[in-house]
Parts: sequence; structure tokens; C-alpha cells
Amino acid sequence: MGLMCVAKVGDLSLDEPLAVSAVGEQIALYLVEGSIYATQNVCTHQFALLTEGYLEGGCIECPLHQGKFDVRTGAALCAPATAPLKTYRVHVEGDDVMVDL
Amino acid sequence: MQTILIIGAGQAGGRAAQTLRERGFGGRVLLAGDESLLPYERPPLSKSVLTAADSASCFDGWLHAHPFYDENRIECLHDGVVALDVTQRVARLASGTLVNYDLCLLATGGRARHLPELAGSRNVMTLRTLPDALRLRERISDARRVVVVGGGFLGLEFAASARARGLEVTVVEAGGELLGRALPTHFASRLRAKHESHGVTFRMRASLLDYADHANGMTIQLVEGPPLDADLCVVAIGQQPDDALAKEAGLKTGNGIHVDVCCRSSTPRVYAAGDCANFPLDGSGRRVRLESWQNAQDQAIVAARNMLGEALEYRPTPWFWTDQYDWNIQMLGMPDSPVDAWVERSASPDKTLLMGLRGGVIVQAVAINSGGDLRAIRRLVEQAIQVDPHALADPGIKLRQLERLVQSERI
Repeated sequence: MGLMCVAKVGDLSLDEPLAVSAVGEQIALYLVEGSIYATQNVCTHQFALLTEGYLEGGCIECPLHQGKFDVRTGAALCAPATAPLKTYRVHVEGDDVMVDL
Repeated sequence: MQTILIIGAGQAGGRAAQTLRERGFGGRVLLAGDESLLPYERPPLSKSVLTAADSASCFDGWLHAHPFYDENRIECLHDGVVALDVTQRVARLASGTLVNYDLCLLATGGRARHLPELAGSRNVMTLRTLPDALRLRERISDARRVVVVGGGFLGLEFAASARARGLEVTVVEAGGELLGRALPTHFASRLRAKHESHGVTFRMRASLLDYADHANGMTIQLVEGPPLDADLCVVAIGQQPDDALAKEAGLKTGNGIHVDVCCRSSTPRVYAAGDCANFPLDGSGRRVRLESWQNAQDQAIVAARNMLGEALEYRPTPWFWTDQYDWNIQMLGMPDSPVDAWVERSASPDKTLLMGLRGGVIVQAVAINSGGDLRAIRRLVEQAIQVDPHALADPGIKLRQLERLVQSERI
């Protein structure tokens, strides 16, 4: 599909994931130590939006049962999360945050 | 080579076995449970097992995939322990086999309590194990009406699941409030209203007298008021901790197996964790037994690490969740912790956070569909950090920002 612009760099802030959607996919954007990462926004354990969870140290915790994922790799880090998140390649061009869909 | 015997192969037992291997223990790890199943977690039993469309895939709560145990040399005995000699360090299994151990972890959990008034009925069930849940799933599929005895978390989760399956549900509760001391009172009434809005009928301050099984199900007589007709009755009146083995072995028990802050029992080399463990919650000397997924997980990890020589103290800020209808409800702190003032942040009746403060510190909190916000104040609760109640109540201030601000002030 290719790169799609989903947000502006200015929309993102530290510790606050941003929910965007593109071609029907729900995506979460994270600003971690100056870099932007993107994963699916729906938790793999039970239906919940990760952007309503808690972001700290490059890990997002699902708001429902605190399952933890590494936003950089999508890896599930602690129970009850076991299945990893889909991640998307992010490319920043000027002010635009592009995601590879 | 050392042998560590884990008695009980539920969530706590399974997590402990995993932790022993993760921390590099190279000796024998024996997992002796009287359920013939591999370790699993129980939360799905009252929810997805009962409501999932497809029976073949209705349960997904195994702690680990099947090969994990062989790959990690964890011996799953599928043979319960019937006697324990803590002096000789020998356990006798149900099969008659004797097992010598160097260290032992009791993770025996508990059993569902039964109601003597309903003993003998073929239409009464309890819910604790996966086989219980699968039997219930089947019974529900051709039942029209169910009576739930017990307005605690399990009874209410079951009620929500039964409503999702289209059954008429009546909840019979002995007390005047749902959930007894497990929730702040004014929240309990909101929860009851939620259930009522989904069609659940409540009979409060109600006690059972008698029952009769008949061709069309059963009739339950209450002490007061009209009898209840149902196809099925589910008794969810709490859990009896499995501490008989420990008691017979001479360990200190009483509402569970007594352990200290490091999960050590009254006998050297014997530890306990999970639903069966009674431990000191804080410096006040108060002892509790926590029946939560979090406790089964975290206490088991601490016990396993301490069995390998660490000296971790298990001092949790109790955290609990329950999913009922479209509400994810989470609680932090002890619900009977005295509160001077309540602060509420409410986006809507279905998305709210209630915080109880004492001396300027948040001592307990209840969240409906606000897990991210509850997580944002967790450190404030765990570390008893003073907060400005006005800032807490101000919807213009994000809790995550508040948390960061308070943290940076402390540095």
C-alpha cells in the first residue's frame, strides 16, 4: 500500500499515545525519546484501545488488564498479554508522520 | 540436585514454576496439582467460556502452551498431594508415590463454598474450575431462568454472562448491599443499577430455606417472599481456602496458610502464595488473603524468587478488575480503607474514576472504563504521595500530567 500521512509531528506529545486510523486500520502512534513508533491500537488480549492506556519507558499498558507491550517491537512483555502487536514502519517527512501500510 | 515441589498447579503454581526456571534454577521442578489440567488462569471461566459463540475455542486461559513444560523440564505430575511431612521433607501423592523435596511451595488455592440448604439438588452448580465452567456453558444453552446465589464479583460476572446468553437472571444476596466490603458503598449501588438496567432482578437480604427439584427444573424457597422457579441455580458465595494439608502438616493456618512478608510459612523451607496464602498487608499487622489474578501472579513470583535465595518483600497495593457488560471495573487499594473525602472524575456514567483520599493521599480508587487513568495514579497510591484534590478533580488537568508533575517535584 505504501506510506500514508496519518498525523503531524506537532500532534504528538510525550507519554500520550495518539489514536489514528487509516484505510480502516486502527493505529496507535507513540513518541518515545524523540522517535515515533506505530502499532495496532487494538490490544491482542481483549478488545481495548491501547491509546487509552498508559505509556512509560517505551511500553504501552492496556487499560483493561494492564497487559504490557514494547511499542518499538510490538512484543508482549507481561501477562495477560501474550500475542504481539502488529507494528508499522514510521517515516517522518518535515512535519508529516507517515506510516507504511 | 535440589528438588522444589510446588503443590497446586493453578495460576500461582504455574507462574512460580516459570519463575524458577527464568531465574536459573537447574534442579527438579515438580508441579503437583489435583486438577488434571495444565496451569490456567480463572478470569475467563465466568466470561468468555460462558459467552463465546464457538465451544471449540471458548477457553483461552492456559498460562503456557503445552510444550512449555517439557521444554523447561517442569514435571507436571497431575497427582495431588495428600500428606506432607515437613520434618522429613516428604510428600505423599494421591497415587501413593512419595516425593522428597528440598523446598516446597503451597499454591493450593481454594474450593467453591457450597450451600447446605441446596445440598442434593441436581440443578445447583458452583464455578471454580474449567470443567465447572464447561458444564455450566452446556447447562446455560438450554436454560431459560437462572438463580444466582451470591452478589459478589463471581456471581455478578456470571449474571452478566447469563444475561448475554439471554437467560432471565435473579441474584439472591444475603446482605443489604452487593459485594459486601469489597467496594465502597455508593459504588455498589451504581453497580446494582447497571445490572438492573440489563434486566437482572435482585432479592436482597434474602436467605435460602429449601428447594425442590422437579421435571421442569427447581423451585427455591426463600425465608421471606415468594419462591423462585429456575432451570438452574449457580452458587457463588465465596471460596474456602485449601489449607487442610498445611494444617495437618503442622503449619500455622487460619483463613489460609499463614506466611510472612517474604511468603515464608511458619515452617522453614515451606512457602505459600496465591488464593491460599494469608499474609501481612502492611506495617499495621493486618493480615489478608487476596483473591485476585494479580495476587496469584505477583505473590507466586516473589515466593519463587525468595525460594532461590532472594529476600524480596511482597507489599502489594491490591489491584483487582472485573468485567461486567460493557464495564471494565478496576479497584486499587483496600476497599475498607477509611476515606475522608471522595473525588470523582467523570467523563460519563460509563467512564469514571472515583478516588478516596485520607490525609491528602489517595488510599483507594475505583475506575469504570478508565484503566489508563487508574494506572496514572497508581504510583501516587503505592507511594502515598500527597495530591491536591482540586487538581485531581479538574478535568482540564490530565492525570498523567499530574503524576509527572508530582514526581518531578519530589526529585
